[in-house]
Amino acid sequence: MTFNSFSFWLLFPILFGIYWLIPAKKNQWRKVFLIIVSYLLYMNWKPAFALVLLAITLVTYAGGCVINPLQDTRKRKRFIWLFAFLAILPLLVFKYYNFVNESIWSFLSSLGVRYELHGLNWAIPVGISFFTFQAVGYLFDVYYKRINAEKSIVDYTLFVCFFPQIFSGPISKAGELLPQIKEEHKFDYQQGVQGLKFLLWGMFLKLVLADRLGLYVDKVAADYAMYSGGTCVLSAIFYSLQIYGDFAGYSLMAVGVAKTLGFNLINNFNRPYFSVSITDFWRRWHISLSRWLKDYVYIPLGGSRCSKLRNYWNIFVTFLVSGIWHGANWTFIVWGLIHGVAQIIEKAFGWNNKESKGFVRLLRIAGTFILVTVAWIFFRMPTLGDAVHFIGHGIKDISAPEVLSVTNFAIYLMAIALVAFKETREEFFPTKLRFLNNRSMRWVEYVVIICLILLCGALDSGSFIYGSF
Amino acid sequence: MEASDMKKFILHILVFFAIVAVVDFAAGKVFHYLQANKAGGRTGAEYYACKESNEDIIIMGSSRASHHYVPQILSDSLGMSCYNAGQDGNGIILQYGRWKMISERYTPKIIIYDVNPVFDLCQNDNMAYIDRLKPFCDDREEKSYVAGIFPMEKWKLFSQMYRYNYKFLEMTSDCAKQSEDKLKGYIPLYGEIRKEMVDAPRPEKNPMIMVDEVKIHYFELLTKECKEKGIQLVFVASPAFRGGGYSVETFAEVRNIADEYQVPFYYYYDSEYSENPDFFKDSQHLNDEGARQFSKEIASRISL
Repeated sequence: MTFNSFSFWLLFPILFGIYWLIPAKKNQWRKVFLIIVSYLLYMNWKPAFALVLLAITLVTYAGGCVINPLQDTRKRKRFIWLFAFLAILPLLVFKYYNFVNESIWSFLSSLGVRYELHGLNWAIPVGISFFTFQAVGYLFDVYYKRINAEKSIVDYTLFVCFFPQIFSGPISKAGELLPQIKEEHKFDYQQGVQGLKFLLWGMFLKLVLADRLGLYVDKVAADYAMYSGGTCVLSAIFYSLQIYGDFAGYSLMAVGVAKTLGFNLINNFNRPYFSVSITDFWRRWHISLSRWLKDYVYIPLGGSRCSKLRNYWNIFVTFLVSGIWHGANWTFIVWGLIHGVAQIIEKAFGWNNKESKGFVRLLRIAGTFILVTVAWIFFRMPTLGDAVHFIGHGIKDISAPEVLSVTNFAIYLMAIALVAFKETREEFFPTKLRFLNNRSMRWVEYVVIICLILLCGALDSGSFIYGSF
Repeated sequence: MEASDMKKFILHILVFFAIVAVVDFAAGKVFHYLQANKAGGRTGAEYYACKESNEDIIIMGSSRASHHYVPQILSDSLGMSCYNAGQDGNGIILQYGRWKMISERYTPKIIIYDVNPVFDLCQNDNMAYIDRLKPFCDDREEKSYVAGIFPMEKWKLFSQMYRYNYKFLEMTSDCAKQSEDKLKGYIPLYGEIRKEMVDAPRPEKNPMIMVDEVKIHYFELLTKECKEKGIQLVFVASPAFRGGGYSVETFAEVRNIADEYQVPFYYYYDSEYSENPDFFKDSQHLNDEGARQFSKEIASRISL
């Protein structure tokens, strides 16, 4: 059950009411209630996969308890790898078995050897990449002695399964979320209102921006050779905006729902398309994953406190992992590597931390957006061949883009203009147009946004793009 | 502090939704007025089909219906008035809803239903097919029909803006279009099929489809109700270029209903018309010339 489903909106006021009706002093009951709700919502999709969630929870909980008291470094190392392996095993099997199997099969076939294992015709447990990374992150935090192992199985279970973030993150750190779980929450008006604002804007990004643009993108991507190059270029730009609206929209809704329940989750996005470099982009896009990769891949590899070449290698490996995390397909790996190589080049030329102003800044923003958009083509297309042909078609056949549907196009332009206005103001003129912040204007804005959602949103649309990762 | 914060929070939410409800109600009134009184184009044609049509012959089905049957030819041949209520990208789920509205007002003499395998038989997203019925859900029967397929709709349809979701822009632009529909719902396609399609190998037949029981249920209801009201119902599988990808077996479920209720089923999906490229605009749609020839053929079979 996703946040954009009508069922969730019927259910949520009831959950909200029951949660806050449980007295703050009975925090344990609140936690048990949230665990039950989280598991029920998860089981609403495919009940059996709740066992995977439970298994990962128990393995990492046990891992933490075993590793924490150990003093012997070699033993700690042995156990962290054992438990980390056990925790990521379901992810490897569900998400990567078929990919590895097919890749080996096609490699052997090219050598003339025909040896095939049966593929798994299973669905992937929704959100497995997110809750696995969150749980493994906890294990490594215990291993690096950043935190002590969690003793309460109830608190730890809620940490892994907390429903606002289980389907598509954000990936929380134990040091941030576990103390909040232990805290006795008192309802805070400002936090609640903030949560609803996030929810509303998240819904707009998802239903009006992302899902409407998705209609154009899907149509062109399914049969790109039939459309003009200009149409392909426009659909690539639209996809950049679609995936932002989709994922940032989901993240905002998750953060918003958590806030109404008294929890503060990490904000996953910070106007990423105003980045002046790819390095800057990864400080603003999917911040919780970037942080995870930095803490548990990049820094353990040596980070930047090593030779230049070794540092470049560390960046390369980190983005390789990022690509693999996103999906079991070469397209995701290439997408990750484009970002990795771009960051290495930026670092080599010292562009990663270079400040720019005025026109130069705008040029850098445009350049970064173009590069990110090209990389998204690999992310979107089903095969590497399709991605390359799509780009080739866009470059070769320079022509005006087709509108396809005037009505839809009007909605795209309205949604893009509104998002661009909000984000430009926040990025460049945070102190200007103050009248928009006064109370009555804010209420008008909320009513307008909800009306736009009802009138223009793709209200019966399905899942989130990142929900499949 | 906590209790007062919560009270304030809930009060503000209630005030907010009260404001939204007022705006929603007002917007619904405006859209309804535009739809009923000002809109031409597609919106006007749709409103006419559901709320104002009074013709003896009604044609129903998908875009293949709206492009394949010329009401003027059927009228002239059969001596009865005719309206084409075919709707692009839709099938029995929409058309049965329309039938409910038509049958509340009057009883046509003939209904020609053009069966499209994709929109009338295959399992797919039925939610998309109720979309164009939502603005008509002031009608209690219509609302219960929609809620019968998707129970959650009963709640969603409280919102007027939800009913006009996405359609309001089209409706607004349709207000600038002429409301009189001289072609009586027929949408002619001009030009010929692309040469690559003519040169392409014949499509492979794929008679097996995942049949949607919901759609079949409404086919049966439509047939039964027409029979009870003494309406002559005719099922037609109109021509597809080189027989499309389907065969006569694909239509088995509708044929069974037709046999059971002794309703004619005319199969032209893969017929001599299907072999003539001059009659087609694309693989699924006849052009104006093809539609005229085919309408004459159907008129002659009905008149027999």
